[in-house]
Amino acid sequence: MSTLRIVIAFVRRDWAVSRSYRLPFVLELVSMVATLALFFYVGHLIGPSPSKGLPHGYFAFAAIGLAFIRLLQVGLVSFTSRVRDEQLTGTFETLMATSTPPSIVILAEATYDQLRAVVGGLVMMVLAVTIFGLTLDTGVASLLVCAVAVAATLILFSALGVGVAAFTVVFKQTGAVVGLLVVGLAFLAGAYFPIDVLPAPLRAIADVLPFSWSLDVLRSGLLRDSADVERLAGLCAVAAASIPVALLIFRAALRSARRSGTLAHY
Amino acid sequence: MEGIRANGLVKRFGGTLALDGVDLEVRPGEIVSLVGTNGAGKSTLVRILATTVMPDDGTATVGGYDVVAEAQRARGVTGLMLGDERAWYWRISGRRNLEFYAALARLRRAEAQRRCAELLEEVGLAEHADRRVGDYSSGMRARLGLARALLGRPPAVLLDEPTRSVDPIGAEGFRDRLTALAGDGGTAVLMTTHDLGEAASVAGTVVVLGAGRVRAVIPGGGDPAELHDAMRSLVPA
Repeated sequence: MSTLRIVIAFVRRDWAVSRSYRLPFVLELVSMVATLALFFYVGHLIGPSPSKGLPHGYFAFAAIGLAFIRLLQVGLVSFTSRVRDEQLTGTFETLMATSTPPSIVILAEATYDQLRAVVGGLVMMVLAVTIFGLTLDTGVASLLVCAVAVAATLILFSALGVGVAAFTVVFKQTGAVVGLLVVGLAFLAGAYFPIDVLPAPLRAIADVLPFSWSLDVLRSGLLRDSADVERLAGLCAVAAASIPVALLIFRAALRSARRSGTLAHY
Repeated sequence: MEGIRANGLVKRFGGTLALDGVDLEVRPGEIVSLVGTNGAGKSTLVRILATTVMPDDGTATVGGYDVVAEAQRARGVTGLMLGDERAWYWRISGRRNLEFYAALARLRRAEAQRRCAELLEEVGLAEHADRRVGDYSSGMRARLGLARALLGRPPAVLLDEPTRSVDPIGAEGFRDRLTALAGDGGTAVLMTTHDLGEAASVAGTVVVLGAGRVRAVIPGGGDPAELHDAMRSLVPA
């Protein structure tokens, strides 16, 4: 119960801070529509192409990829950017001196961003359906599969994000690494195009990445009314195993910063 | 509950020896002032006791908990006020900031709200509680810092230059509050300060730190000039 109270306290804090900046909410919505419009017209150029893994057209493929990228960005960026913000404002040391375990602090830090990313992804899907005429399978079974896949994906990205945040604790500036990871993973997971079009060595890497499994499950659930249960199970297993590993790395980073006396540095 | 204890603390930062075998004790109900020139090791000592810096050698306990081996438990019995007045969420109010930290100190919502209101009143910020921290003066942020340190009614409090930016009247109130905390509440208080008058007046014991070592231990309530002389002897002519 007290852990939930702490998570809620972080969400309330971040909601209050976000509300004090009103413009980004509006701009985010405009940016979603503009991005969807861009891919909608690119989709017109390409048209349905079952042989290239686009049986429902490029727009349907890309729209789900775009929602996925939102989760990827939040998972990877929010943990490290929150830690960085706390370092810059001087609050990181005060947080680490409280009686709340650092593992709870770091996971709670990004909860608001994750909730926002999920809502953002949903809004993006709604906009794609209502404005651009995307047809999704909204049967209960496929929605359930997608909900599990989204949850597992968020956990997986969070683990990665906590791992990167650990580097931020030690090395302070890790923005370039995060940017590279976001682009690299979006590329290899097949967010913008089917991984079948990649050269064989890259395709082999993409095939074993749980990120591409996540997109496969989401696309098969939302577009083809079928569940890739094997990949979903694999995704859930990797996600469950990844968080403890990430927290261990984070703890080691904190220990290193405490030892070198750089916890309060930025 | 035990107070604050340090035995032979050593800390190096690269080639710089920040602490060189520091021994210190603050009993429950006692205020100890830590004075010394810049770079004497005062803040490093406070940070080690607050578990945010690990010592290279020696041991320290707060409330009976080892600050390395039982760091999480030690944090639970420590109130901390660091000298960094930036360490707030500037876009939200003082009250919201405090309530956030109250949740981290494991207070339930209703209890947290009550405790925050009580502390805001005590540190003279009740009227400004709902203003953004970004609109506070540095003295007001320091007062808020004391409120944050006392949220969980900790048996041990560490204060790093708490009155640095506080006006003289506010500083007097601050000292009265510390005296009450130690006297009535039995809290062990360790505070660093550059104000020798403050150190002498508020503390039962004044510890003079120089180049990472305890150079003198002087009973409080004495003449600040004596402290001044003790510190002067540490500065090369």
